[in-house]
Amino acid sequence: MMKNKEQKILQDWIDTLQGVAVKGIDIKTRLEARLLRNAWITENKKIENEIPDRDDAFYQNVKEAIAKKKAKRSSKALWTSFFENKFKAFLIIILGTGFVYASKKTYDGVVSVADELNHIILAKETGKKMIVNETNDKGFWNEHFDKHGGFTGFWSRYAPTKDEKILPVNSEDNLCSYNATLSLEYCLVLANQYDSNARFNLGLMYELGVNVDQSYPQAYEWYKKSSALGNEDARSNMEYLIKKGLVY
Amino acid sequence: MTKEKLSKRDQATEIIQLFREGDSDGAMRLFEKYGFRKEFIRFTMKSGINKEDARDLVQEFTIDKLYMQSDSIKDIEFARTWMYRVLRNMVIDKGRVLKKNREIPFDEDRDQSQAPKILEENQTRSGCVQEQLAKFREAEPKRAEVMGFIIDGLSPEEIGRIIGRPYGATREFMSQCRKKFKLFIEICNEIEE
Repeated sequence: MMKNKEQKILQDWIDTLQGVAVKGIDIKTRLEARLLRNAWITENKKIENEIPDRDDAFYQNVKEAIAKKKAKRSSKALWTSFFENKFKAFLIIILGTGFVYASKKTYDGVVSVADELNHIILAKETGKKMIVNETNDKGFWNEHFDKHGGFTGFWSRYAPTKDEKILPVNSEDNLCSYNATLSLEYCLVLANQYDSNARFNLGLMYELGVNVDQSYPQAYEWYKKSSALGNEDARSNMEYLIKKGLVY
Repeated sequence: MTKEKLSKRDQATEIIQLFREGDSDGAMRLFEKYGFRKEFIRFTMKSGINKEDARDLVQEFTIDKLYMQSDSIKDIEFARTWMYRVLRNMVIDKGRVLKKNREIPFDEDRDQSQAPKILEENQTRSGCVQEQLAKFREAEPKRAEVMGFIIDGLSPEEIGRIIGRPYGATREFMSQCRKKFKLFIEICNEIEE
């Protein structure tokens, strides 16, 4: 009840402030409200007298600023109008994302193929470099005359009798030259004799798990040792192992 | 009561509608015709900002808010309320800047919450009310602002939208305005017309 009375007084006060004639209002409240309204309106008039009726500069400035903003807006309008169509925008985003994804995949594929091409998976032929001393006596005739009977002089006897020859190990006995017949023991013997190809083959055995347990760190170590002897293929296989993340 | 209020509301809506349609020249013509320039400058000046700053502020409001953000108004029928709310925020920001740059005299830090009880000789009642109103605005700027909105014909719902309070809280705030102002105006009742 009390609350309702309060609310009525407030509503009457509000209405009187807004210039509405209210019936049955408390005289004191009406007087206060009217005095306040009059004072407020007088104050408003006083302030409004200070403000000029016409202000062309105001509108000129607003007009210029709006023209500038309009020019800026029109350049953006192309984009905004395009994206107004939500379906079109969605389609563009999907196609764009697809294109980026496909490009990335293609690039990765090309890089991957290049890596695979540089990766050597065939064992290298190993062999022994041997120095052979030819010390057999040719006899007087053979020493001073050639096979047509021409005199070759006495100097030929001073020609070097030593000869360097690479004697390939018989392929049937070589167990460190072909993928199918790689043997750990045989390759280790050759690797300890500083044969870079044998070391490469050991790396390959460990990488592919041929006749040994597969171990990428071991493979990397052997490739490194082979590479130290100047084997370029071993170096490229080392890089392959790193790129693929098989060793760290 | 509602005829003038509704027409003011409709005028504001019409202006925003023209801005939305891209007819900024037409919108500005109506802005002047319906007296919004004067109304907003007056509102800004009553908030304690001088004439030049008030003019610049209303100009900035017209360009940056009315023109640029007219598309963002959700309820176009409350366009006038939106205008007041945005302008009020700009006035508050401007007030903060001015307050920061102002040097405060020593005698200004006195307590202004109590209305003075001394009457001047030969003072009329309306003069007294005006004087008390000025003091009330200084002591209770937010309440004075709400009283101004009531006199300008805004409904409690619209005032609530401007000051950011729900309907019930706005009515309660208005009730407090009345009671607080009553304390200021009591002294004037002693004067006989």
